[in-house]
Amino acid sequence: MIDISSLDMVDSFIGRMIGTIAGMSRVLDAETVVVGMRPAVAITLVELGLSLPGVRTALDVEKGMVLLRAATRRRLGEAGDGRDEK
Amino acid sequence: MVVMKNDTMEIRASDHVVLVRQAVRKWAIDLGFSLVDQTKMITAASELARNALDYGGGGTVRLEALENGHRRGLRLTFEDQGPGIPDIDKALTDGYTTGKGLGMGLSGSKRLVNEFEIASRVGEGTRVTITRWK
Repeated sequence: MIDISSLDMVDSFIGRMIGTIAGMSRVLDAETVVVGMRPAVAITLVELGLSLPGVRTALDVEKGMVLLRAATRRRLGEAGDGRDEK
Repeated sequence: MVVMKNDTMEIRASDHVVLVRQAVRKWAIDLGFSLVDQTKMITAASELARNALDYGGGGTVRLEALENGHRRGLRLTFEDQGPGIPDIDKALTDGYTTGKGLGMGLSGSKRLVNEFEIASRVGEGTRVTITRWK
């Protein structure tokens, strides 16, 4: 989980870094979720044309955790080992 | 159109890109820009300052606070003495890059501002001027 709530802007340089981190995490079989993006930053990112492919976002840390838990459960379900992640 | 205030800053190192961002934020706030307008101008400034540094080998930015009747705006002029851009149309295409970036900086910053001008001569350098009105 990457918390960017303290960033007052995200340019393509930072966008590329986030994308790289997400890519590396995927290779390591981990999920990445970016949380806390400010509304003005989101508006600017869209106009800039950065879509951050492969990077999931959530409103805040709490919602980010929910997303990650769900993803973990789904993967464990697919593996079919019957375990239930709380 | 009247220039109320102007200043020039050097872009020679990564730290300077941060200083440019901070200066643009301060000027945008002083001009009464909304938070979204501030963010757009700062992001565009960050892209162009980074370009001047990475592709132009460093350069300068000129900040100008403008007043046109009751309209107020901020104009930024980025100049470098780098290799120049042979094909500006291509450079303005989304996703095109000669480096290792995303190719969104130039085309993206154009969308973030009201006025965008670019002039470049191969072997001499590049000048990009952006203006955003309140």
